[in-house]
Amino acid sequence: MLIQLDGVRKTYRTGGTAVPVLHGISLGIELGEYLALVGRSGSGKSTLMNVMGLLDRFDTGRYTLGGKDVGRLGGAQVSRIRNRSIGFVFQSFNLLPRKTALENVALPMLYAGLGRSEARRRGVQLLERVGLSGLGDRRPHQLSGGQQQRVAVARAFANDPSLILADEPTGSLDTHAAQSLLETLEALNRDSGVTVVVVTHEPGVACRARRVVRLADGAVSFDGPPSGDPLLSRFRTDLASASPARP
Amino acid sequence: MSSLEVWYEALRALAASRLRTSLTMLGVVIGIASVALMLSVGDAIRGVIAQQLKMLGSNQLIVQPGTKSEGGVRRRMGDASTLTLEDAVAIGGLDYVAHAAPVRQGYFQVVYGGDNSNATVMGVTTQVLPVRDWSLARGVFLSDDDIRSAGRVAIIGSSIATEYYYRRDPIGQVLRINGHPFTIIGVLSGRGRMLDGSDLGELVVVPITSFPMAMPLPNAVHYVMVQVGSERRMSATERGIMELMRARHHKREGGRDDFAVTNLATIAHAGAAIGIGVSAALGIIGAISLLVGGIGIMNIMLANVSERVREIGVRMAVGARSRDILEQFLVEAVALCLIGGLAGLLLAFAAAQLVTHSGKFELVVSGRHVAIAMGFAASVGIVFGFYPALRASRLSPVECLRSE
Repeated sequence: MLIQLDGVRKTYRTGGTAVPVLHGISLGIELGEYLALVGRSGSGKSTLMNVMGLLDRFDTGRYTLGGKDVGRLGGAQVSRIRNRSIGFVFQSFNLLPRKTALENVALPMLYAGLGRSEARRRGVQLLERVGLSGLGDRRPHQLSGGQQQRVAVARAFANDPSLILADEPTGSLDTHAAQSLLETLEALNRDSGVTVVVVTHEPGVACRARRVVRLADGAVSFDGPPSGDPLLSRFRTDLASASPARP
Repeated sequence: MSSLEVWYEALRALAASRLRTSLTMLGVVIGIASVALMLSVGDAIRGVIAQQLKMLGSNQLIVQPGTKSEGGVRRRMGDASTLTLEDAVAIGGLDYVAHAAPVRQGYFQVVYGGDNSNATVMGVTTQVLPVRDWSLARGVFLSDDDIRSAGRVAIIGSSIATEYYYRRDPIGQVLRINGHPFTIIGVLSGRGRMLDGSDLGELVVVPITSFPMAMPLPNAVHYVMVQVGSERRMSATERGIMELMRARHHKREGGRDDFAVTNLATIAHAGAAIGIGVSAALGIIGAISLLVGGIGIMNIMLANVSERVREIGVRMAVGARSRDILEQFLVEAVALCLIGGLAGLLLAFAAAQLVTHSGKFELVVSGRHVAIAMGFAASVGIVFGFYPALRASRLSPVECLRSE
């Protein structure tokens, strides 16, 4: 088991009011899984992703990642785990605008202590794997949205992580770029055995996962294959009737 | 991330906002220029004092006739009615007094062959040599025999030698002081202005006994130069001389003395007072500029941090530790100050060149000054860059990534 969450709770406190976001989430994710985390906005899926990515803290419960209790680790250890074991893909790409594509990909490796030339060498390979050979010297604004997100995917894979957390990765992309990016993520999941968790509110994205976890009001309301989720299966029927030619 | 990498990142970040960077640096530039110049002026002053003291000899007191109340320290000689050769001998017998050299001094018409000029003429004994630390470029100094026999021999300064005996050996030549012939037997080495305004290179030195001017008393002298054995005994010796002289001249303590004792080091230091003032003013300007510049840097770094919150979030997400973020922004502030410091040093170099070229004052910005000034620059960066960097390092990654 790569990820094990047991009764994880989190409450935001704004002013005097306490807003509970996660109501005791318990969830296990195996290494190599491809999982979609779905739910309406406000359901707590982004918070859960931040907790899983060690970007945010939780109040009570237990979180083990790769067999290690990571819930109460200090800042430097948390940074190290984020650096070595987790890769993030964000909706808004979050590339550093003044750096080239290659430098963006190399950044996590520099923080891991790699030398500049070694980081660049591996960065070139990673860009190749996401289909961006030869574009390493471009800056983000010289790339299309789909290309920028591929740079972000390459950066997420920089230190050979065991977990990729993708928060609405196709949210800013057109249909074609979105399809192509998902194919890339799926291929990387298949080839390198990395666990991929995609947070999405798009049924079309969720349906491509082998497992869907649906959150509602901060609790898991469904956990199983896409076909079993009533909300998603309705979408699948719609999709099937709308485009029967789809293989 | 290696420290080289951190510096590279910092320089690139600064290069990305050149205008803002250079405006921010202005305070540091002026501050560091002032600091470097202050150090340089300070050293130049110390150099001048040391040079003057060296020329005068160290640990010296000077005993003059007349009173201080008649107009402070008297520089002009001529009223030598109360100080005598016997006084000099008595002073020479005091504890801690290494040498006491009586001097008669005047400004006379001197004729070198066919050339006619005016020069300061000193009548001295052999005691003057250890006191003044003079050395000879050529020839020999006055001997005790010359003093005893009131020999008509003279030592000339090096400027006189080159000006009036160009390509000729002055030794053996005869010059006339107030019409009296003197044979040149030696040439002093060195030149430079002494405290009484006369130039060592333009001096004529003769035996005190053959000084070519009638004195009010046959044994009167214009002043006595006293060499004290050690610096720590200066004030004790000064008091000793006062007591001795009062006893010899039958004066009461607290009454009106007919002599004055002056510590030459005090005069040398007083002469440097203007330079010390300039140095202090530069120091104050430097301190204020660095303070204002530092606050400017803190301000710009705070703005920098809030503008780059998203970058900070991304860096934290991909594995930057708090201390990596702290280091990044601290190094950026220090780099900013060091660049400003370099520009300030260039300014200081230019100013020093200007001063050296325009006047007689030689101003040098040395390696030591550069090191100290750059140390100041780095300190300003660390002190004023620390708080913004600390703030950046304590941001929460989630909130950084959420911000627009």
